[in-house]
Amino acid sequence: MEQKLSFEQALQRLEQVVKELETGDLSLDSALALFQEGVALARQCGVQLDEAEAKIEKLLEAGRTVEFTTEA
Amino acid sequence: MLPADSSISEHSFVHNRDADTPERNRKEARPLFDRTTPVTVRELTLYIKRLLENDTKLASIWVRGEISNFKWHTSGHIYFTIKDETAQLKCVMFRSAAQRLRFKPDNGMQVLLWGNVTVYERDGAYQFYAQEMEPAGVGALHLQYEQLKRKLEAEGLFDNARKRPLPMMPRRIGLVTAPTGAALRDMISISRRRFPGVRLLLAPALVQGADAPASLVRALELVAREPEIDVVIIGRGGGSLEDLWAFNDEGLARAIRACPVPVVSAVGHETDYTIADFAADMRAPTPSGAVEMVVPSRLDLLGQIDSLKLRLVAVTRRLVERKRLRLKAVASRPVLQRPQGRLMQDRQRLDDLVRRLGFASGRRIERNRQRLGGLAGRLDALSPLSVLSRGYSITRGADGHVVRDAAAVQPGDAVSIMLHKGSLVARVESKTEES
Repeated sequence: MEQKLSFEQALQRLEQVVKELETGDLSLDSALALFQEGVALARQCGVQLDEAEAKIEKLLEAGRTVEFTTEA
Repeated sequence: MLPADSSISEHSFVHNRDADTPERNRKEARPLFDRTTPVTVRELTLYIKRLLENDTKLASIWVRGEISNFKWHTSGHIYFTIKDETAQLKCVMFRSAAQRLRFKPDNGMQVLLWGNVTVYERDGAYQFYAQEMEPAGVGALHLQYEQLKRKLEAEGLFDNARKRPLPMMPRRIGLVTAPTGAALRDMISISRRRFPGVRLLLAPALVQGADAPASLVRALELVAREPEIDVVIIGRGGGSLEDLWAFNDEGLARAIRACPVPVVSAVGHETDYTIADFAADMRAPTPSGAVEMVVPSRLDLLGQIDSLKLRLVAVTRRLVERKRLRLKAVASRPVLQRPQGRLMQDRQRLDDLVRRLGFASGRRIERNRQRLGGLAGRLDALSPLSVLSRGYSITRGADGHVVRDAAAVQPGDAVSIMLHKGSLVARVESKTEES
């Protein structure tokens, strides 16, 4: 489930987790569960930032793409 | 010596001897050639002035010519001459009219002027008082532009409600622009700098000339159909108004509005808005500016994640500490001295997690903070808008030039002040110069 979150969703969820911890009067169990979820989300966001693989392509006719190198 | 044109000759002095009647102004009726009672220079000049000003054709006339001797006075008035191969005409445009100009006139430019002819008594010279000025040749295009803009506006094509927000982290970004040229090179290099893992897909298009609108529309439609495209930038580098004209096309405006993902227009012109700019979800002044809006900064995002992590650890620690104090209070009662095993376990688990997280993120945060300090500052400094958002403003004189020195303005001059949001028109009360 968590893996399916986009970066944006993961970051939003992480913000929500922190807010919940900051405002709610939680049981220790749920607090720890949230904490672990938050740690996982933070890691996932970081991984997504680092994993993105640069790709610069050019679109040809009929939906074909080729690697683009700056033409002089 | 006498004006040949009959419409003018009826006003002239010479034949007035016979028509001299009591109700006529005596001075005016006085014969010009009477050497015993000559008119003064002023009288003659005023007479000529009245002649010119009473002429209905000269009171509202369009004239076309090339600008020379152009001078934008600090008062805000413009003085210049327009000429063709054989004649020239002195012109003045007062500040009130000059402020409305939508382009920057200069020597050598062909312009169309509307105004009236009158006499400047001190110099004994007739002058054209220009009320309006537009680049010759562009006039018709401009009209077409205004009409199209009004039409699409009335249809609601430019409504703010139709503008979509840009994705925070687009998976893939479409670029509709010319495959060669500085604009694309800048876009690619800035994208890479902001986000090293950026994924761009260029859809090459003609960006000027008669075939450009159709080419832009086709490229936009093709690129938006590609998988994972979350946003499209359409634009070109700066150019003359004529060069940018492809972006004032109705079909293109509709294609932008119909695009399934948000479109950022980036037609390289700071001041003039194209129809594409109005239709787009977001308008950037330049292609580089568009990239700054669309491509997230990796460092900013890392900083955001790290600060959330810090908050997460801190808040959980506090929460556990509160529980621990409560437990201590309760546990100190003799009745409850024993069963705290479960809680102790939880505490240990948390301490362990906090330690691991704190250790792992602490080092990374420190590293990133250092990079952020240097890079974020530089990135920030590059954006004039971010400077404005910190409370600075940009002052421009009546001629549109940025005022950097108090010596460039005079008390009484109008200046315009650009703020982070909106702008002001102000008048200089007084000034302090710095040598």
